[in-house]
Amino acid sequence: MRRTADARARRRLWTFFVVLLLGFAVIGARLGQVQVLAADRYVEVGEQQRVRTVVQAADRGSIFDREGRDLALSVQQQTVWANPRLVNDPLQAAAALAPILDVDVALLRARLSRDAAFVYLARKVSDDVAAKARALSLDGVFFLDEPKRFLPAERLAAPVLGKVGIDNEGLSGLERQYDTALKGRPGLLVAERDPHGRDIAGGVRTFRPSARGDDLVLTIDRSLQYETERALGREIVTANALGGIAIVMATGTGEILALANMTAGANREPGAPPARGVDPGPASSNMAVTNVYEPGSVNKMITIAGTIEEGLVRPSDELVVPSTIQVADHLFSEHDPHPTEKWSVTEIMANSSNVGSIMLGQRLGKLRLDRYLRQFGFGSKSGLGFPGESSGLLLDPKKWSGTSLPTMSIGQGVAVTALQMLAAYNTVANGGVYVAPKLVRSTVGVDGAQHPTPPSPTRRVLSQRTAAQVTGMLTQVVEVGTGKAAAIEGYSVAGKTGTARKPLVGVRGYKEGAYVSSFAGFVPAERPALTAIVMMDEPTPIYGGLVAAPVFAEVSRYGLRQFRIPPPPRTEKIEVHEASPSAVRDVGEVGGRTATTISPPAAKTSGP
Amino acid sequence: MTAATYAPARRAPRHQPDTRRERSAAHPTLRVVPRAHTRRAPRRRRLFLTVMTTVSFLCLIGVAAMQVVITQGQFELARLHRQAADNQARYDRLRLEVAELESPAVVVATAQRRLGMVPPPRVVYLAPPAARPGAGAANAVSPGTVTTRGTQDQASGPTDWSRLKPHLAER
Repeated sequence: MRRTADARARRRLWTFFVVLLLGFAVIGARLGQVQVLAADRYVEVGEQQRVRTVVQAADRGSIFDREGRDLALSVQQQTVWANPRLVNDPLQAAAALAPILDVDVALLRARLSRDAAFVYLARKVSDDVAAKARALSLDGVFFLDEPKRFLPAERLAAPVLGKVGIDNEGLSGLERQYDTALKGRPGLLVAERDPHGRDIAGGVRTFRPSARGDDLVLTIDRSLQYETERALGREIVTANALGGIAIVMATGTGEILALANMTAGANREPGAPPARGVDPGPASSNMAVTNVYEPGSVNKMITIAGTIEEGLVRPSDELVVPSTIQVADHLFSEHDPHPTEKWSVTEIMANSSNVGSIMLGQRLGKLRLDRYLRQFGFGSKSGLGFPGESSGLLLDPKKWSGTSLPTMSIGQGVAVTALQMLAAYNTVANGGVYVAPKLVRSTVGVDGAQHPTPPSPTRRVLSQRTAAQVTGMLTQVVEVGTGKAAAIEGYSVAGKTGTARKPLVGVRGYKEGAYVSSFAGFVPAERPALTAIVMMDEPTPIYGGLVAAPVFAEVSRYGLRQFRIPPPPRTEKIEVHEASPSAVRDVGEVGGRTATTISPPAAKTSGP
Repeated sequence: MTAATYAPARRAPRHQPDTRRERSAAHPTLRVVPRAHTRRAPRRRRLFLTVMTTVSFLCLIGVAAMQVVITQGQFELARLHRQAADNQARYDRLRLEVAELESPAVVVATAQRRLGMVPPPRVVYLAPPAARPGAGAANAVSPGTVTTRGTQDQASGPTDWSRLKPHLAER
């Protein structure tokens, strides 16, 4: 009996032992599988659950004006995001958040119902909005900081500064051109965190801090930029224009002090028809650099400067100038008919004579005219490096037609940017030396060290004597010619008006009754410090001397005070062959051919 | 008689060494260990164990304390990071606010709204007579006059400098 009980107990013990052994064997096998065979996978899974890698966006560098005043800077804003897997009731959460975030309920609900661990609900919202959303204490809804770009001076110089995308990448303008320098290097935080997102003490934690982007110091002066935009905007309204451009440059260095691109109806809906004369505001792009226009009479300065530089004429030389001139199959005429008269070259410039300029252009010849146009910077980019910058349109002389020479002599048949034309006038202002325009003065690194940009490249285009003679002729334009409205009290202004017909888009020919009016010049003429150009798109009246010249005067007058540029002493005089007031007409001029002149002759031609 | 009685008894010890040797070969020689020796070994062991236990305990306490310190440090670090980020964000916001308030458009708007500034229809600039360039400008005015801006404004005519000067000096 006792022996049977012992045997049974022993069997039970053995059975238990075997079961225990099997159990341990299974556990051991599983342990081996987890720890040895599939160790890497489980380590990875574990790390995925614990270790969080957070890319920290670098602060984007600021953009300053030449005096260190903020034009663009980044500030941290709250972004609202959600983990839909942690959201209990997407509809309720969406309904609560929609009015605060100003997002459609259906859209929010769709996002909160996604099978994902991360969805954006609203990015870079204001602090007030973030505080209201946070106060809801919704499960699965979280907040993170993201830098947002601000233009503290509202839309001042906005087309030049450009835009930044939602992920802080430069999309246009200087933001795009200098994106690499501005964006900096993102930081990286690797840390072990618990399910609540808190760092696990003693866990893995590596942190590579982000490096802030470099700052940009522009050549633009904020105050002058404001005054330039204000004056241009007012003229757009007064002249019922579509828009306008104004640029002010420091003569000696080529630094751009103000660059205004304005358009009427700046706040109209995208796709809406162009507005005229109302609601002026910054244009969507930097038209002064990216858009080309036929310059018209302002281009006559180059024709005349070329003929003087080549020794073909002197400012005082007289030409017999008729009212029309036949070249090839076209009859070119003056905008104001006049009897055939003897005009000096200075008077041709002061009167902005089409016929006189064509006659001078014919003396110069197509190869030399083309050479001067290119030396003045036409047909090639300015070196600014601005995104979308245009080279302008300048035909190869081999492709010129019979009328190319006369049309180009008066500024038609050639297309330039406003900046190119400004640089051409700046060449005369600099004594015949072309100075490439410049928009960025320096970059400032994270360490605060300032790295000035290299000086603008220069090249001689005209001799100093020719430049002085052309300057004298340009002062006559302002003093007795078509540009009187550009005069500034106490200073001598040199400049030239332009009124060019506007070509049709996509087809040959010109838009009826549409003109681009401009004035380009510099001040003080004796010792130039500021060079400026003003261009109005389809203004009324059409004359550059009436709509662009006053803006030039207003902007330059402000600039002279802003930069404390005194009038030169009386002892400094310009070499001027004075135009006879009786030989000069009062109003503006129109360059190029008119519809009536395209018909065959009846020409009065004269002069060599 | 007596010899006969004692003889075996005396011999017996003679044979004893052999017996003892045999016995000692079978059983180790036992002897009474002094009491002091018997107590030393357990006491050392006990002391060793005590020390080891204490040291181990202290080590554990130390590790735990260190962990607490590290954890506190981690929290402090996280708090400082948050504080630095908050302060940086505050600085950025204030800088933006200053820049916005400094912008020319806001200054003009504020001056118009709060101070009642009225932008002048035209700005009068003063030109010192000595600085006037002599190039025969058609629209030049004679020295000693104050002009209004823009040739379109010429109709308003020059103003006498000597009449304006005293007023300027009062500013």
